[in-house]
Amino acid sequence: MKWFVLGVMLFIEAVIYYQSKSDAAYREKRLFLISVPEYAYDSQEVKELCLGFKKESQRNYFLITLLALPTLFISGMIYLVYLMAWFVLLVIGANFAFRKYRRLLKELKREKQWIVIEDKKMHVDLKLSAYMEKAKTCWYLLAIPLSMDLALFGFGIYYKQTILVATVLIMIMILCVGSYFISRIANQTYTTDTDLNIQLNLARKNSYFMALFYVGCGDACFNLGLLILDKQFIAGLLCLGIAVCFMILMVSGLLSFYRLKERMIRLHEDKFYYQNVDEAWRIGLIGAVYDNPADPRTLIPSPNGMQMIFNAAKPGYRYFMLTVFVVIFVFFGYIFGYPYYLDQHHELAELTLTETTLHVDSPFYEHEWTLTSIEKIEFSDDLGEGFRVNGTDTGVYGKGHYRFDRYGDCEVYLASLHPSYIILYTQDGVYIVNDDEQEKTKAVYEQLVKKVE
Amino acid sequence: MIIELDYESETPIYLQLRNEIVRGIGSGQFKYGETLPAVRTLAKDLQVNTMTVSKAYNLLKQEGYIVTDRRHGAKVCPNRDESDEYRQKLEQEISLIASEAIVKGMDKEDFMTLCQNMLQTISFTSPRLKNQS
Repeated sequence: MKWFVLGVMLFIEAVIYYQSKSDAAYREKRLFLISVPEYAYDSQEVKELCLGFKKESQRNYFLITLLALPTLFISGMIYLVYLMAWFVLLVIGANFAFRKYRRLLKELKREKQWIVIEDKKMHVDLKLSAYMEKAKTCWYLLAIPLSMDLALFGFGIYYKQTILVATVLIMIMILCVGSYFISRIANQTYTTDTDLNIQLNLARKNSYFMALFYVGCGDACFNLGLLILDKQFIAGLLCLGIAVCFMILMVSGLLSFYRLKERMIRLHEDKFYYQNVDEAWRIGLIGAVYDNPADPRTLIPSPNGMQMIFNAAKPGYRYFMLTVFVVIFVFFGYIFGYPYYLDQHHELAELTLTETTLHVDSPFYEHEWTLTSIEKIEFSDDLGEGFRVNGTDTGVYGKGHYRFDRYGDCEVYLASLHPSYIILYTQDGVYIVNDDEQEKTKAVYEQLVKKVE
Repeated sequence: MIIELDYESETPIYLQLRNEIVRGIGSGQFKYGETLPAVRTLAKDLQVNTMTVSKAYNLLKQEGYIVTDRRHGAKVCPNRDESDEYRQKLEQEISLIASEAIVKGMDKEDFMTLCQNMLQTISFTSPRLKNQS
């Protein structure tokens, strides 16, 4: 598990590294988000700055990578605290070199008096606007991932898979809100040529739309794969593989517009407009931030050209960020906070013994065993070493397929904060279950022993 | 047709938009009968309120440069105006510009050359004028 977490940490670090490198690159007469004429980019001083940035950036990321390794050797609360501190360091430290070299380039530009004509005017191609009114996207394709998500939603409700239900709802919301925003995205006047503008805007809209489609399909396949993995391993693995393919298609789709734009810039450089408002750009915690109150646009192309980013000066940006944090807070609150609240009020798990059945009931799981199917019962307050193969483990409750050194493969329905467990050996396999009150678990066990024997 | 708007200018946006469209019609970039984008679309692309674009379109309609229709939107359809009232208004505006130019030190011949060069860029002809000629 720690190796897996380390892998995720390094993957996130790699993504931030390549994002930062891409933002800092010379593109559309901007280097480190400073407008620099081409002759200046070819100068010795700028080449030295670029080399210095590359070395310092690589050194910083290498140090951050080394600092991730101790996570393999620590555990418990120290592990969690160290993990959080590492992520904070990554977010803050990742852009140190970018900020430093941006400042140096600004000073160099001032010293050398390099002139880049600042184009602060807004260009709008009216014929482009008129044409794009009639242009249609294949919005009906979104019915495919939406149908898959609705089916998964039904499965999630039926099998009481709370996390699946929550993630599917979030994806449905992303698909609906995303398609709305893509359809309403403002047309961009890239060049003085209307035909070129139409070509680029159509490509941009299609690439964003198809990326949303691939993300929706990929997410649905991923959730389906996880759902069926323990029952139908091959089919589950196939679904996960298809999910990965969709993600690759998504990245390829986004890159296609970027490559088209780069090709058009090479062929028709004199026709392109360049907006060079240096002071509007700054380096935020996680990368480039555009903050220009004089720019009426809410969304502007990111420095690497692959996505749109918010104009932080717009009130809409604050509402958007607030909404994102609220959704994340509500999501994690439901996954972790709500079970904890139930646990504190002894409403998390109810173990009930009748004349013929043993029943465990919770808002997150439910199962019943007939007494005749139970062959042997044990009681334990320590399950020993084990791990989750498939299922849910929020630290407050656990449900699903686990493997313990002492008991082998088991299905568990556990209130995790109350270490009193009943182990049931049945015809269908081994089950581990408990109540959210330790005394009640013990009492049910004693009654169960009498009935089964 | 590409228009330029300066959001930091003191001239209101609707007026800048109106002026740019009139220049576009004059320079022939907008042909007679051509459709302008819908108010919502243009407002979204300009990142301004729909009222701003609506105001510009209403002004153009009042002045006789475009016609608007609920089904077909706004179309370039300038009307001739040879009234004395319009001529008087034009004389006043030209007099102001000419005075500014001369007071600022421009030669009268230079000013005439400038005006002639400007007229060269105006290529608008309405179908009615074509038929008459």
